[in-house]
Amino acid sequence: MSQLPAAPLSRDWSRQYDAHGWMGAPITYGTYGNMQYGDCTCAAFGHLDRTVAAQTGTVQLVDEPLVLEAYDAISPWSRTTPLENDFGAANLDALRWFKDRGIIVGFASLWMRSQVELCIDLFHGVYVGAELPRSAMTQQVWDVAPKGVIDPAYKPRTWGGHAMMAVGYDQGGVWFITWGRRQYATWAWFNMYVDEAYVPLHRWLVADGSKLSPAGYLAQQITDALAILKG
Amino acid sequence: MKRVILFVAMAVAFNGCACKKPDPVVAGRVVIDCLAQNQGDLGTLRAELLPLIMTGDWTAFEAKAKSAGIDIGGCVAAELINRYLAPAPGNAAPPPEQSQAARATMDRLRTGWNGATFKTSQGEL
Repeated sequence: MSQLPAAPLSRDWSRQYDAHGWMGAPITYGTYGNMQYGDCTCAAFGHLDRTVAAQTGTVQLVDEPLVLEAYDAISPWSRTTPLENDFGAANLDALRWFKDRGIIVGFASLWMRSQVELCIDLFHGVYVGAELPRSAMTQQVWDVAPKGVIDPAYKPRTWGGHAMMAVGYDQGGVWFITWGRRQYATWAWFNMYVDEAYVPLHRWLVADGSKLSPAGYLAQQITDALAILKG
Repeated sequence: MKRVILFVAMAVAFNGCACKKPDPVVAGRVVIDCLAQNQGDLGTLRAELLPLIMTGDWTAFEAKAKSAGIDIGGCVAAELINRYLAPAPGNAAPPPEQSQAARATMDRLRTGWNGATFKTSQGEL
């Protein structure tokens, strides 16, 4: 692959596709401890793993104990004293931990919407860090403030920092998985509040060199695409 | 004489209209509801455009979709291009050059329709 392919106009890996390519029922997700602890940086890998396993028909590699082990390893939080030092962790540390464990085989930073669309299609997920506004607490669809509205609830990080896996998109916005459920956010929201984005390559997408991925690519094509994205 | 004055007045009025500043473009996204369009018209155009995808004739595809208008042409173009770029499981994705050409065709059509998007069962395309 000498150049990257173009992304479809929509893709939603949080729903099962039927044999004709039509989207069906949503996949169910766990919370990986994120309702009790600030382990979102690691729980997101549980959501990626669940997505890839469901779409490829492979076994899940990440469960809640592994997510908590990761959080323990990359932050001051400890499983033995879980009520202390629960301040979250850095996205890059989580990426490196899951790469060291062989869950993902590599990752790259992303800068543009076209890359985000393509990587959700090819890699089934884009790992983001977002500065959540308080407005997201009550919105069904996460969106920016209406034009002309000045409301401190829309200020970035008034709710806090959060890591999520984006596993779907269309031309209106992005599907995140967070706290065990699907959450849609508009592209305007994404542009306003997401401040870092990475594409992780899950090992199951490149485990069998002769088999097409659910998006229709061979392992070598996916590996080549990651190399191009890494520059 | 009255008739001449009336003609001049109409001509001035006509010119005035022609020179009128265009209405401002309405801010906000235009979303076409493809599920509410005439399904027969969509099917007819779909049958015309599908062979052009098979042969990779994106110039003809774009021209036909454009001439069908935003409601029908936009809905069918978006649906077909999305299905082409996101094939059913077990099918290979198109080669990068072909997929880039398909996406560029849709991007040009969308630009011509002021950035409109198309609400379908496959999401907002």
